[in-house]
Amino acid sequence: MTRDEFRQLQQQLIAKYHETFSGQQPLLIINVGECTIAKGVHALVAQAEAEIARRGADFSIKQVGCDGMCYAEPLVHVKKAGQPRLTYGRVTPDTLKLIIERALLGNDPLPQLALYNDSAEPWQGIPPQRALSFWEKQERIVLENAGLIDPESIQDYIGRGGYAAWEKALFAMTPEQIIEEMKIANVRGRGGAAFNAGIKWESGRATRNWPKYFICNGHEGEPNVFKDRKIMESDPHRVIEGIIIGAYCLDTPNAFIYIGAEFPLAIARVRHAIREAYALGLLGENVLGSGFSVHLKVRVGGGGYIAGEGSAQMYSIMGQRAMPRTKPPRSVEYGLWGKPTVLNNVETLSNVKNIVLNGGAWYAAKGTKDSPGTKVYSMAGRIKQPGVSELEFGLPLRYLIEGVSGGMLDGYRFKAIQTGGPSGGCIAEPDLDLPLDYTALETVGGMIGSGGYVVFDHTNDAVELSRYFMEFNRLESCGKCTPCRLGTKAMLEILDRILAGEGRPDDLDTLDYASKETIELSLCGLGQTAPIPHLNLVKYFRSEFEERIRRANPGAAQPALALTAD
Amino acid sequence: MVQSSFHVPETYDIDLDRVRALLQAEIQPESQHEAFELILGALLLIQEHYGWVSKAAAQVVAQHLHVPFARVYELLTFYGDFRLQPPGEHRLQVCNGTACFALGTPAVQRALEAKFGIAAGETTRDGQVSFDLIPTCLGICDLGPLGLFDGKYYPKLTPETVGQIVDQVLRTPRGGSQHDA
Repeated sequence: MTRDEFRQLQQQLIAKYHETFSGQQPLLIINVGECTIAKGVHALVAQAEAEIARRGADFSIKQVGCDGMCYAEPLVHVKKAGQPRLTYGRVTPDTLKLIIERALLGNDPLPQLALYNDSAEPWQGIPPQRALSFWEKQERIVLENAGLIDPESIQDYIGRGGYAAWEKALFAMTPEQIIEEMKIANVRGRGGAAFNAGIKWESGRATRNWPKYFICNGHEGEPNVFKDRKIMESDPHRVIEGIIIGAYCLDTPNAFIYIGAEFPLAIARVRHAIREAYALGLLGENVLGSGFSVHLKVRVGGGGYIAGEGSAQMYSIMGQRAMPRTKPPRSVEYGLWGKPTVLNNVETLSNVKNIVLNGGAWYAAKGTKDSPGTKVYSMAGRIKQPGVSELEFGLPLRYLIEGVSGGMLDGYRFKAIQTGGPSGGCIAEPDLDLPLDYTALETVGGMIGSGGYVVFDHTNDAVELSRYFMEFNRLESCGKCTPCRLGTKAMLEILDRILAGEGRPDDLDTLDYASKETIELSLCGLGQTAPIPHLNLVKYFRSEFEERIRRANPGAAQPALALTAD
Repeated sequence: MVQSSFHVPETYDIDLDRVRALLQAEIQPESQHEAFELILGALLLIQEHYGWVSKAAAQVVAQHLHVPFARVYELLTFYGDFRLQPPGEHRLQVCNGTACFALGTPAVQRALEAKFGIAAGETTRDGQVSFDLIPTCLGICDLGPLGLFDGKYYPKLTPETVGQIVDQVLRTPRGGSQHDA
C-alpha cells in the first residue's frame, strides 16, 4: 500500500466508523474483555445473536473492548439515530431481553436501568456520563478508544484516527523532530522508573552501534496491576503504533513486545493486531513506500515479577534466566544481544500516538509541571467502584478513593491504600491529601509506580499484610544478589514468628535494620523496594505490631517498646 | 514453589511425537538468536497443551531448536509458570493478588487445604485434584477472592461456599475453558 492508498482507506474507514456508530440501524454494543468473560458476557452475546436471528436482523451487534467500569460489568450500550448512546450496567439475561425489546427496538429508554448517556446533558431522565463520579474528572488519552472500538478490528482503530501518527511520523517528521516533541512532552516511564522517555530515545539514537533493538515491556508480574493488560486487550493497535514510531526514531527494523504468559487474551489480541498491520503494509518492508522497514515480534514470558525489570527482561528474551545486572552500562548502550536497546512500558508507548499528532507542548500542558500528562490507575479492594481510570496528574490521592472509586463499601472503614504494588508503601489517612504526582507520594514512602492500587479496610491486619508483601518479594526474588535473597527470607521468618505469637521485644528493630540493609545493598529495584511495604505499615500501624509482640511477652521489660510507646 | 506430592509412574510421559509435530508447526526460528528467544515460547506451547512439561519433552525442545538441553532445563526450572509434573485431573486455582488477599483468599485457601489434605502447590495422591495459589493476580479484582477451577471463573468465594462449588466442579467432567464458550 502506498501513502495515498492509505489516506484513501483512512477516509473510507473514518466514514464507516461513523456510520456504524451513528445507529442508523439500531446498534447494541457489548463490552467483551477478560473480566466480562468472567461475568458471563459470552452468554449475553449468544442471547443477543439469537434474538437477531429470530427477529430477522432489525438491529446489529458490535463487540468492543473494556472501558474500565469493572464494577458495573457486564455493560451494554444502545445507540439509535437521533439520540445519545445509552449505557446499561450489571446486565443479566433478563435485563438484556428488556433492553433489546424496549430501549433498542421500542421507544422506552428504561431510565431506571440506564447508567448514563454519552452527551453532556441529561436525556429523558438519564444522567450524562460526567455526572457519574467514576467519569467526572477522567481525562482519557491512553484509554481514548477503550470501549469504543473492536480491539480485533484494525478498521475500527483507523476509523478512530489510528495510524495517522505513524503516517505523519514517516512522511512529515524526522526522527529528531519526534524525539524533540517526546522530550517536551516528558512522558515519564509508566512502568515505575519515571524516566523521561524522550531522553531515552535520544540516547538510543545517539549510540553509534548497530543493530539496535526496541522493546515494549508488556509484562505486569505484580499483583493487582492490570492496566497494561487492559490497554493491550482494549486497544492493541495503539501500543503497536507507539512501538513502531519508537523503532523509527531509533532507525531500527527490530522491535519486540514482551508479554507475560498469564495474559492469554492480551497475547492473542496483540498477535492478531500485528497480523492485521502486516496485511495492510503498516508493518513490514518499505512501509507505505517510505523506504523504512520495521518488524515486530511477540515474546512471551514464563512468569516472574522480576522479568518486568529492564535488564532481566532482555535476558529473558535472549532465552536466559530473568536476572537483572548491575548498571552501567545502560541498556541504551549494551542491551539485547549486547546491542543498544530502548525499552518502554506499554502505557508510556500508548501516549506516543497523541504526542506525534498534537505536539509535546499539548501533552506537557496537562498534569503538573514535573509530572505531565495523565496516568492510568487500576483500583481494587473493598471500594464501591473498582475499575481502570485515567486522570491528569496532580489530583489528590483522596480523590482516587472517594471520587473515582466511590468510597468504601458500606460497613467497611478505610485503613490504607497500597500504592505501586509490592514495591510501594501504603498510605493512610493523614497523608491522603497529597497530590498524585511522582514527587509528592515519595515523600511518605509511596510511589506512583505502575498505578495498580489496592484499598485496605479495617478488617485487614497490618502484620498479615506486611507478611503478604514480604512473602511475595521473597518468592519473586531471583536469587542473584545475597541481600535480597537472604534479606527477604530473614524478614519473612521474623514476621512469621510475630504472627505465630512468638515475637521478641527487639523484632521490630531487627526488621528495621534488615530493611535498611536490604534497601541499601540490593542489586535491583526488587530488593531495593522489597522492605518498603513493611516499613510503611509499621510507620502507620506500629501499635498493631507492638500489640502482637506484647502479647507474646507478658510482663517482660521491653526497652524497644518503651522507647516507642506513646 | 512446593512440587507436587503426586507420584508419577516412570512410564508416564507426554506423547513426544505429538510434541515434535507441534513444534514443527508453530516454532520455526529464522536465526540462532531466534532459536534461543523461542525456548520459553516452545515450553509454554507444550504446557498449554499438556498442562506440564516433562524432562523428555524439554529434550525434544532442545533438539528442535538446536540449543543445549542444559539451557532449556534451566529456564524450565527458573520460571514460575512451569509445572514439572502433571497437574491433577481437576485444577483448582485461587487468585492471591493483593486485592483477593485483602478480600479473603487466606480463609478460602485454608478451607481448600483442609478439604483435600494438601498444601497449595500440591496434587492429591490419587492425582484427581491439584490446588494452586496464583501469586501474580488474575486481574479481575472486583470479583475477589476469585477462583479459576478447570478454566472457569468462580467469583467472590468464601470458606463456606467454596466446598460446595468445588464438589460441583469435581462432578463435572473436564471440558473446555470459559474462553472457548
